Amino acid sequence: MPTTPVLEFRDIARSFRRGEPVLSNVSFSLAREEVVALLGRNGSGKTTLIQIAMGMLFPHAGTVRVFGMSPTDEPVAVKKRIGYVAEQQILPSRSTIPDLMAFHRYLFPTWDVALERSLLSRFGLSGNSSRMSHLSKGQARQVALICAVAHRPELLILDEPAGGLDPAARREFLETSIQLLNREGTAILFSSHHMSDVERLGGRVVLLDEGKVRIDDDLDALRESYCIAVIPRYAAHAITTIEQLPECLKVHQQYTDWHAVFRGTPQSVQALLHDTFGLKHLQCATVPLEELFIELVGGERTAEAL
Amino acid sequence: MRRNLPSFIAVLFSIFGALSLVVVPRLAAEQALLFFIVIYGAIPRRGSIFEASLPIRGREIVAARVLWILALVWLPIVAWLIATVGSELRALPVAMVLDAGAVLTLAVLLPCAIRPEQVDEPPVWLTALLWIALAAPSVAVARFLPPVVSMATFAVAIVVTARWIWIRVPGSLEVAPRKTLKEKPSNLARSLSTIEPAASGRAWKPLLLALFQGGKNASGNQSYSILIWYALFLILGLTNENSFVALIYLMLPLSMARQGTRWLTAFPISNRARLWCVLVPGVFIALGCVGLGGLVSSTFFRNRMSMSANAPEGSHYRDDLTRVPLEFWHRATGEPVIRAPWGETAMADTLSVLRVELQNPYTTNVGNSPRFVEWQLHRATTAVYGLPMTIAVYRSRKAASTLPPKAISSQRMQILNVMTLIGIALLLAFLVELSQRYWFEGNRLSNYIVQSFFALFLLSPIAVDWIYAKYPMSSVTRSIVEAALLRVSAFLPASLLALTIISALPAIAIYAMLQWQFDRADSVEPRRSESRVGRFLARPAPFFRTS
Amino acid sequence: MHLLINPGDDLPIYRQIMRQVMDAIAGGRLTAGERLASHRELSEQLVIAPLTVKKAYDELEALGYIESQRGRGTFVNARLPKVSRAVRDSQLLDAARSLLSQAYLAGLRYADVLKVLADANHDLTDEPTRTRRKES
Repeated sequence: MPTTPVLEFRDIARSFRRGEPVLSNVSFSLAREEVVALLGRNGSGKTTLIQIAMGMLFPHAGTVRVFGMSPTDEPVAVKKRIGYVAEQQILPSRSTIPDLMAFHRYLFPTWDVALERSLLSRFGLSGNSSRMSHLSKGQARQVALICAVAHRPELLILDEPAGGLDPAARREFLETSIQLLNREGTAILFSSHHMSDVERLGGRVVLLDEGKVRIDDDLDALRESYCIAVIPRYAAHAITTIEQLPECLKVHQQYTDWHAVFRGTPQSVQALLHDTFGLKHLQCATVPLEELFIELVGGERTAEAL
Repeated sequence: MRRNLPSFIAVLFSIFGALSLVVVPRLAAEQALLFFIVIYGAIPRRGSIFEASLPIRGREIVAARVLWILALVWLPIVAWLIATVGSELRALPVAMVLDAGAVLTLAVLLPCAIRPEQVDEPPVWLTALLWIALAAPSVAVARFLPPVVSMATFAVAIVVTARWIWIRVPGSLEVAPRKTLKEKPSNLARSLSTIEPAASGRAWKPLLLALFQGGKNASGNQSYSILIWYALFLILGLTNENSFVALIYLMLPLSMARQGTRWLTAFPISNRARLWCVLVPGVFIALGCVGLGGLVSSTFFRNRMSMSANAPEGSHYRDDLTRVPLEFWHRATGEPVIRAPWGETAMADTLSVLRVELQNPYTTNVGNSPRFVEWQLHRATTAVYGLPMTIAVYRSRKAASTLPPKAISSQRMQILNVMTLIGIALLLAFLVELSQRYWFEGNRLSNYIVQSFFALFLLSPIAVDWIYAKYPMSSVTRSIVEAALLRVSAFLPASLLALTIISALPAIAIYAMLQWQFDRADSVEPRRSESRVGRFLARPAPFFRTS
Repeated sequence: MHLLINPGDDLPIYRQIMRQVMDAIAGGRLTAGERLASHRELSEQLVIAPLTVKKAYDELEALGYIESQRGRGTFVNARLPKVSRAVRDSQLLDAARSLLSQAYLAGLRYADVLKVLADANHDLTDEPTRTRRKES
């Protein structure tokens, strides 16, 4: 039974300077209870995409729909059901924590005070009535998380939420998100650089590279159906042909050898390379997410770097 | 180095202040004061954390900044002194200007004397308090002591403060420890008891506070600097009859309010509410302060001015009686000759403003008869005050300071003035929104173009005033506006209510346009590179070598 | 049921869960008919996504190790699946080859490998008995 996706991007394009698109042709969607991890290098357009989802930026092309509505046309109806943690601290610095909580309570009709209290005590912030500017960065993040989560949103958007948090705080962040996912069926869109967090939250991975969607796949499929093959120096003549293979995603030079990212299991890729080019005994393996990420979007590295 | 628009404008105004002191001293006398205040509307900073981490001695960092601001203060004064050496253009006594310079120097130095070992400057309220505490004694010293003694007093104060700072600033500036509150057990009980929904007043407290938090102080933290602008606007209202001058400075509270309310876009607040969150602190309260100042000044310092007080000087007058302000002049058609019903004539005074010939229809020449003068005064007072007066009545009332309010201050005119002010302010806000828009999918107008445009837009009235500044106190642009409003007022219905509604229509239309554009604008600002000109102007020159 | 997962491991998380559940069943720590933690409980306990738990359980169920009963939970199957002998032998052969290759590279000999196997067997099956011996 098809239901309205919670969040839907269709052919989103956006630029800040003529001729330099920050996002082009970005399309994917998020259904209820789904988790999507938005990965990409710094400056690849993740925050821009998230801001478009929140209605803070207008896309120059394409459409964005949240709960079936446009976030720029109906900001109030949409934002009431979203929990948002921004990359930079945006909460007013001179408000105290209790004042902020009261403010949110007023704006969000579904605010759950018991949940607010329990989260405050779990993060060790009960009874803390200092101003936001007097809190440490991690504590401020935690307050932002409570503000985003305590009204039981249907969509949680986290823009690098764990930046600057110590590992224990990061774990608490994850726990809270997972609890929300379990108990409310909240869909989660988050961007993060901590691959272990991405692995834990599971779901799909959308990889942005220079504003385009490079990969939109299930996390486990990424782990198991993508592999890296090392093409040694003596086979360098075959590189251009290898690049054009449909299963090959990227080839780049790594010191004196070449790395090729393939879609397929190591066995099938080894067989493919053997059949097509007669290359034998090539190193080919699945790699953890972090390595795959670096291989796909990392920069060129040659031996003369230093 | 932050918020280049205010720094840029501040420097621009200091330059204009210098020029205006030189060129048009009488006109600029009161505006210059405001220029000087604007210069350190950007409160003097001691140094950034970045600088504190460099191998530069603490004293040098502080000195560099302080000297830069003092240069902005003293440059115009010195320029003025040199330019007007020996000439009669020196409308202000030298001693007064030097005293003003000394007071400003103290105002810059004193905040640096508080906790001089820290990189951060003291909080805004403390600085404001300090300045207020400085104001009264300095006015007293300047007024009541003979010039030499007062200069000496100020000089001593400056030297003592500077020395105190110099001694106390350490080799390396510290960063203030972050204030944290210890958790009190009583707070725990209090927070547990806030299960019931809070009173809505408390809920809106963060919003209300944040509305006024748009300014950034030097350390880049949000601060209530917009309040300083409200104080300045109040002073403007008190000292200046021309409230349109406030529009020139309105850019700053407006941009502060825009900055300070950006965080609201993440919340379920309608676009209209967000726009009002910008307009109320940025436009309406600012203009309200000007209005309040004007109200106070007209209530307490009731200065019923004679007709000729703001009038252009002419050459044909028999005596000062029938010179009227520019807004009551008529368009010149053909020969500037005034003909009385019985045939007596006079040559009218003419003035060419922006290629339009204007003439004073109430001029009296030296050779005219008393009857003619009486007739002209009758006509002039009817036009200006709304009731005819004879020479004797006029003179006696002028002597007793019981002249009635001018036509331009009538209630009708006040309403029209307010509506025009609001309309132009909203237009300004609209232009600001427009200038931040992304045109053609990808380009925003460059910073240079935007800043130049606004500088032009806002400074052209001042420029016009300079060119035609042939008389003190009033301004040509204001006269033009008042004259237009007088004509409009003649067309509109008599009832005040109808007048209000009709005159509000343009402002409402502009507001609708503004709201429309605001709905379609991005609400976040991507990281933009600072304008090179602004960065250059805001950076103190590297006076000191790093050790 | 005490599981330990490592997000940075070579194996995806769901496979780690599968491996540990299968080890527990093999070692007798999970007995037939015992109830496993629900998706939600396990996800909150390990701080992982519930879908990952679901995937692990689904795979285990497909392999025949566990069985999920609507409304009542997930239970260990009473009868372990019968893997065909050929598949089983080839799987074991691969694992054995890998073990021997590792050992020979480290300089061990066949006799040492047998000792290591015995120790591993102890760990897998005899843990309860080992603790009992300590107590007595």
